[in-house]
Amino acid sequence: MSWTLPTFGTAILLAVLLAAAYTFSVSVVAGVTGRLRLLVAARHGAYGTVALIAAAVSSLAYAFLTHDFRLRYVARYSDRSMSLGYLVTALWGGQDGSLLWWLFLSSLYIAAFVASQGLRERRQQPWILATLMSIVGFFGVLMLFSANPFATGVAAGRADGEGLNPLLQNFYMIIHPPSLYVGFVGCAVPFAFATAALVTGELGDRWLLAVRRWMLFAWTFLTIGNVLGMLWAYEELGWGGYWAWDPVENAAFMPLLTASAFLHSTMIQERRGLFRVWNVVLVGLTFFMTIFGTFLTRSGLIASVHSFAQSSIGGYFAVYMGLLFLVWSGLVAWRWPELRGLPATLAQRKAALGAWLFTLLVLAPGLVAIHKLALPMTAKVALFALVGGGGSFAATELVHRRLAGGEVRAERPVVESFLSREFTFLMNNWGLIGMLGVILVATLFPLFGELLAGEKVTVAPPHYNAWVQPLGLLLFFLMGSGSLFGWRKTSEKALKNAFVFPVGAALLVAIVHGTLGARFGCAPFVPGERLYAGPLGAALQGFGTIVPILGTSLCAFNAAVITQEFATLLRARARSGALGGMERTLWFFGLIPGVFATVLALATQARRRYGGYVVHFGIVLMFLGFTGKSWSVTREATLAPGASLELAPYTLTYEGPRMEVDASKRMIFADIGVVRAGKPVGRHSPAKFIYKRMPQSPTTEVAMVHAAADDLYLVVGTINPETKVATIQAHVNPLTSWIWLGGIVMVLGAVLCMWPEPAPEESRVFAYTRSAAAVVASVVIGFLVASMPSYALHDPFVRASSAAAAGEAP
Amino acid sequence: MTGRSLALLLVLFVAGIASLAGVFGGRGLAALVLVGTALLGAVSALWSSLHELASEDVLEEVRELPSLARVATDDELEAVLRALIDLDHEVAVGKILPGDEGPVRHELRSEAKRLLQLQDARIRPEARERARLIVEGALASASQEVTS
Repeated sequence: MSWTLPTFGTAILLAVLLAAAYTFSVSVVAGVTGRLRLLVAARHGAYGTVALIAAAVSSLAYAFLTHDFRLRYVARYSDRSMSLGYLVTALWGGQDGSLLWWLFLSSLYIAAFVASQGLRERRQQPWILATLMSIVGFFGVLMLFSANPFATGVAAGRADGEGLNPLLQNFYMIIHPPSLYVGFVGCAVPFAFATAALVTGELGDRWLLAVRRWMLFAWTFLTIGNVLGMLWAYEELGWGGYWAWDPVENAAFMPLLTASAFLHSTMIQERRGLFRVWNVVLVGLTFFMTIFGTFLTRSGLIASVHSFAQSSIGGYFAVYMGLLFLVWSGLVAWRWPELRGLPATLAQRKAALGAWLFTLLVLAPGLVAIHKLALPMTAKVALFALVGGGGSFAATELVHRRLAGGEVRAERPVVESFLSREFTFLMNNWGLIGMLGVILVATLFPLFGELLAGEKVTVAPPHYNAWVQPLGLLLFFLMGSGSLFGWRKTSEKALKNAFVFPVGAALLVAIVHGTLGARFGCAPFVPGERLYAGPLGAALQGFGTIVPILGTSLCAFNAAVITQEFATLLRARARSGALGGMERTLWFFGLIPGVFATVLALATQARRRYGGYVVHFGIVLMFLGFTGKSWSVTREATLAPGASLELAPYTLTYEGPRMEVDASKRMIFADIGVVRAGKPVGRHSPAKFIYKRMPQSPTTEVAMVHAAADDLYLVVGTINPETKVATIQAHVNPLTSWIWLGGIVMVLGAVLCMWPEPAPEESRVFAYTRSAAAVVASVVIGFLVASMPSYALHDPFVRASSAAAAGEAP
Repeated sequence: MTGRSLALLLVLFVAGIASLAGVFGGRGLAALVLVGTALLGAVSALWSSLHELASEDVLEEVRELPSLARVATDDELEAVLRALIDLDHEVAVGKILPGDEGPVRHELRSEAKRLLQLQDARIRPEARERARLIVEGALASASQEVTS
C-alpha cells in the first residue's frame, strides 16, 4: 500500500477513534475505581486524542493548500483560483469537512477542560471525560464509515476542482459557521458535567456552578452565530429579509432557546434549591438539540435552501440520538430520588425505573397506534401531543406513586409566592420551551404530514410568525417584569414602586406612537394576515395587527426597567460609599465606559445580574429592529434607463446596465442613482454574477444603503441586453441596523457576565488596572464587531461591485 | 515555570516555526509542520498515558486524600449564604422594603445556623481536637505579642 495523503488522513481518523476508545475505557475504569493514577492516564489520553484530531485537520488543510484534488472533498469544494481565506473556509464548506471541523472544535473544548480542571472534581472528572470521548467516538465512526473527508473517488470532478459555492464565498460565511459550531460544540461540556453528576449522584449545586460559565460561553457563540447567519442571509440571499424560518435556521435557533432557559433556571437552583430535574433536563435537551440540528441539516430529512447534500449519515445520527435518549433518560430515572429530594432507597429507584419503562413501553406503541388511525392529520397531531403529554404525566406521577407506595412528595423548597422572581423565571422558562415546541413542531410538520397523512405539508413563514410573535412578545414582557421582582416574595408596595416608571414609559410611548406614528411612516396598527378560519385565526390576526404598537411599548418598558435597575444600583453604591473615583470618572466619559466600570466593580453574583441586564438591553434593540419589519415596504418595477421609482423617503433613478468581466465570472450591474429625502446618497449597483463554473445559477448581489432609520435594499431581477430595460426590486426595511447593534450589545453583556473574579489575594491596584483593561478590551471588541460590515466590504465580491459602480476595474 | 505556561510557550513556538515555514517554504510546508507537531504531541501524550497506567505510585493513597466527597449540606449552606448576600443587595436596591426583610433574614440565619451545626457534628473528633490545638496556639502567640 502506497502511503499517500488519503491513506494517511484515513489512518489518522482511525487513530482518533482508537485513542478516543482507549481514553473512554480508562476514564470509565477511573470513575468506577476512583484511582487517581487512572484519571491522570485518562487525562493524558484525552490530550493525545486532541492532538490526533489537530493532525487530521492540519492534513486536510494541507490538502486544500496544495490543491490535492485526489481527495473528493477537496476537488468538490475548492479550485486553484481561490484565495487563502476561502481555502480555509472550504474546510467547513461541505459536509465531510464540517464534521471534522466539529470534531476539531470539540477537541479544543476538551483540551481547555482538561487544562483548566487540573485534578479537581476527581469523582466527576473521569465521567466527564468518558462522555466527551463518547461524543468524539461517534464523530470518528461517522467520518470513517460515512463522511470521510480524505476519501478519493472518480466523481472528484474537474482536474482543477469545482470551487466553493459562490453563495458561500462571503465574508460572513467565513465567520458564521465557526461561530455557530463553537456554540453547538460548547453545549457538549455542560452535557458531560450533567452526565457525570447523574452517574456519581452528586447532584447538588456544584456541577451547576461549574457548568454555568461553559454554557454562557456556548450561548454567546450561538448568539453570534445566529446573528451572523441573519447578516449573511440579509446580504447574500437577496430576498430582502434576514430570517425565513428555514429548517437550518431553526436548527441553529432551538439550542439557543434551551440554553437561555437553562441560564435563567440555574439561578433558581443556585438560590432556592428549586428545579433540579428541570435543570438536568435542560442541559440534556440543549445538547440533544445541537445533535438534532446537525441531523436536520445533514440528513436530507427536511428540505432546506441551505442544508448540506443528502447523504447516508442520517441513519447514524438517528441511532446516536436514540441511544442518547435511552441512556440519558435512564440515568435521570435512576437518579430520580436524589433529584426530587426523596430517600434514595432501592424501592424508590425501582419505582422511578418502572415509571421510565412504562413511558417507553406504553407510550411508544401508543404513538404507533395513532399513526394507523384513519383520522385527519390535525387530529392525529393533537392525539400525538395528548398521548405524549398524558403518557409522561401518567408515568411520572401515577405509575411512580403506585410503585413507590404513595411516597412521592418530599419536603423540598417550593415557589413561595407568585410575586417572586423565581415564579417569573419559571414563566420565562415555560415561554422559552413553549416557543421551542412551536418551532420544533412546525419544522417537523412536513415529516409529520408525510408519516400521518401521506401528504407533504410545509409551514410557511407567516404561520411561524403568527405563533411565535405572541410568545416572543410575552417573553419580552416577562424579561423586563421578572427583573422587578425580588427572590422569595416581593411586597405589593415594593412592586408598585418598581413598576411605576417602566409602565409609565411604556404608556407614554404607546400614546406617542398611537397619535404620531402614522405621520412618520410607522403606523401603530398594521393589519395582520388571516391565516386560519374561526376564532383562533381571528385572534392571531388581531394580535398581528397590534404588534407594532405593542413592540415599541414593550421596548420602552424594558429599556425603562434596565435604566431603573442601573440608576438604583448607582444610588445604592453612592450611599454605601462603594462608588469609587475611577468609576465616577468613567461615567463622566459616557454611558458605555460607565456601565462597564460599574458592572466590573461588582461581586460575581451581582456582576452576572447586571451583565444580564446589558444582554437584555441588546435584546431590546433587536426587538426594536424586529418591530421595524412591520413597516417595511417593497416595490418592484420594470425601468428603462433614465426612469425613476419613488419609494419614500427614497427616489431611485435607473441609469443603465453595465457589464464587467474578471477571471471567474461576468458581472452585470444595474446602476441606480439614489436620493434620500432630497439629498443624493450616491450611485448603487445591484448585480447578477454569472460564474464560468456555474453559468446555470447566477447569483444575486444586493446593493444597500444603511441608515439608523432604515435600510434601502436593492436587487436586480432581469436586464434586457437589447432594450437595457431592468426589473428592479427595492425594499425599505426600517430599523434593521438596530438588530445588528443589539447583537453586539448582547455579546458585550455576555462578556461582562463571564468576566473572571479577581482572586482574593489580588491587590487592589491590580484589580483596578484589570478593570480598566477590561473596559478598554470590551470597547475594542465592540468596535471590532461593529466594524465587521466594513470588513465585509473588503470581500472580493463586494469590492468588485463597489469598484465597478465607481467605474474602476475590479 | 508552570506546566500551563510551558504549554503556551510551546504552542507559540510551533506557531512561529509554522509561520517561518510558511514564509520560506510555502503554505503547504506550514501545514506539514503543524501535522508533524500534532503527531509528535499525540505520541508523547499517549505514551505518558500508557506509562501512567503501567507505573506504581506508592503515595497514591495519600494523594487521593483530598478527594473526600462533599455532602449535600455543604451545597445547602453555600446556597443559604448566597441568599443572605442577595437579601442585602435587594434591600440596598429597594426590591425588598426594609420592613419586610426581618422574617426572611431570621429564617435564613436560622437555616445557616442549623447547617453549620450539622457540619460541625460531621467533623471527626480528632480533626476537631486538631483545630482546637491550632486555635489555642494562635491565641497564645497573639496574647504573647500583646504582652510584649
